Amino acid sequence: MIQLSELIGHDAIDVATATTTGKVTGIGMVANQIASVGIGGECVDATAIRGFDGDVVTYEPADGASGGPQPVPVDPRGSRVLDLHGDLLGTISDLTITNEGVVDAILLNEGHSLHGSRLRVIGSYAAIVTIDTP
Amino acid sequence: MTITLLRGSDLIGRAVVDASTGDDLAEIKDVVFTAGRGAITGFTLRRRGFFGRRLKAVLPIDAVLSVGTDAVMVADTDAISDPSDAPEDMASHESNDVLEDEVVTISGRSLGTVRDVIILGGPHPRVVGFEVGGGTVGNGLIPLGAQAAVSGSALVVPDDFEQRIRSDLTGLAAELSLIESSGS
Repeated sequence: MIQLSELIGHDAIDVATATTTGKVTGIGMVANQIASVGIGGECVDATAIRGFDGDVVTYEPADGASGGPQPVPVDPRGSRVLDLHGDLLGTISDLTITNEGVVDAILLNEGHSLHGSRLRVIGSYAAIVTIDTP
Repeated sequence: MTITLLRGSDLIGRAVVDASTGDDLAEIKDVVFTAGRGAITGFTLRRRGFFGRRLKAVLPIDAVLSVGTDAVMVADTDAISDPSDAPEDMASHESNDVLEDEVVTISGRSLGTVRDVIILGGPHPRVVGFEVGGGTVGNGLIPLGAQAAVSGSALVVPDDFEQRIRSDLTGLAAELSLIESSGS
């Protein structure tokens, strides 16, 4: 597990050239799965990432066209979190991410957390989560 | 289920959010409803066009997923229509403007004027009451009961409504629960 706050700002190294290409600026999500990573202003397909829970992020740039448009990487910290009813649940303070790039938990500035499986999308206005069913 | 009551004025400017992208598509300009029954038929909207130009649009109630405490949720961008494509029941909203209507009891006692409408939020939003002010009984909230008669200029309520005026949304929610449980 890694916290998003530990990932953002990490140096990223292209393993093919062993060069530092920039810092991690954000993540792009499809539901609660990281699908892309922002590195030095570029959008890198998440399948190109070789390691992200060490001291640096390593990746192998795609040598051809990717499988389609990737979600634009953003830093979601500070985003409001709404459920599908439009009710405000809080704002994101951090995300807990598994080694497979899945959001395990959404940590809120209000002091509580939501299960990562509730995350549907992170947009320009809000992160949208499913209704909590007891 | 929690009852979420909102003032209509609080909805003005609230974001309309696409639940599939998390992006805001527009903001609420006005609530369109049938005053007598409290049925909301939709919302008029403001949205940004090219170069920041403000565009008019409408959101029919059938396209609303839910009215929440922070946003009005829709499934996608198709929910928003051009005003010329608005459903017929949204077209006559001018005649349903109840703000500043006088509220009088059947026996003729004036309770004040309508200052705001109270909306039940959630997946099936509707107008459930009015905020009254400026009268001899002070400011308060009254539930929209089946007994109320509404015209373009006045809202007539039974005499006992004077005793049913509530000072806050919590009190109104309790009153609405009583009305629903009694089936009146």
